[in-house]
Amino acid sequence: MSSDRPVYESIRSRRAVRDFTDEPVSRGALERILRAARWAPSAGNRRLHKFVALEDAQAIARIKAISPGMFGEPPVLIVMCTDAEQLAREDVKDHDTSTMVDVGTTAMCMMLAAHELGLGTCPTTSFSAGGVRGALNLPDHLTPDFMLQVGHAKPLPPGGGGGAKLTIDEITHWGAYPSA
Amino acid sequence: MSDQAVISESDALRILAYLTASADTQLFEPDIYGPFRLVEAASQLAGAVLDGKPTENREFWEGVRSSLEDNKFRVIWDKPGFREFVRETPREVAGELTRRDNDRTSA
Repeated sequence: MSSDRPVYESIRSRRAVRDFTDEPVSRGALERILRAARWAPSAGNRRLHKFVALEDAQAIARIKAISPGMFGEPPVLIVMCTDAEQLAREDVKDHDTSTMVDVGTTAMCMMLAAHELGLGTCPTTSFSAGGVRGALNLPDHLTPDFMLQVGHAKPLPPGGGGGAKLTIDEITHWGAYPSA
Repeated sequence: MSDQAVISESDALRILAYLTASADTQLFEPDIYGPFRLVEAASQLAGAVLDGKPTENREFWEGVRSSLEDNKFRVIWDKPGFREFVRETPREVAGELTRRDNDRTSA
């Protein structure tokens, strides 16, 4: 699989997709997205994450029932879990924010890889971690931190689809923050 | 006037799952998501009632479901409008309760 989309254009044109068609996602595409996760930056190269990939509609519906942030019915759902045993082996402290940063960078790698393949994604963080643990039979040392809905996007309604509204001047100060 | 049971046990379980999961996520989500999740649960409830093909009051359920679906995502792009919608919706539902009580009294 190859792409003619430059990276910046992919970043600019990606959107959160909440409405998916019934078209399945190929196993090859799903594996490519998971491979992208393997290439994500990882603080100290600690590789803290384990993934559960769901392709069964009934299993995905069970997760949706306990995930208030999930509105679509995607054909694929990827659950990213942080491995507490790996955290302990790497002596990661509770206040180490790099753990959640790694979740975010890994998520972005997967979303861009999916976008390159013409697939839509929706990042999901509003779910009951205990519920997901129960539904997926996760061992205690795995904490579900993030879910990615993946599928073929339905066309947006007219006027739909937001995007970056802020200018760089609104979010950036050059050199130092201005004095109060 | 009959009081038809229309919601299936499996739909009730799905809504129960949604409500208990929302109680969990509300421990860390912004406060405004509390009303948002309840609006979504109310919409799911109305949808489940409609799936049961009620022989009476269908128009009311269709109206409330449509209103909930049309307005719930205002929480993202129009928070004042969403708050106003949340404040106004119980008035409409209470009106339906009153109408039915009045119908029973006059029957």
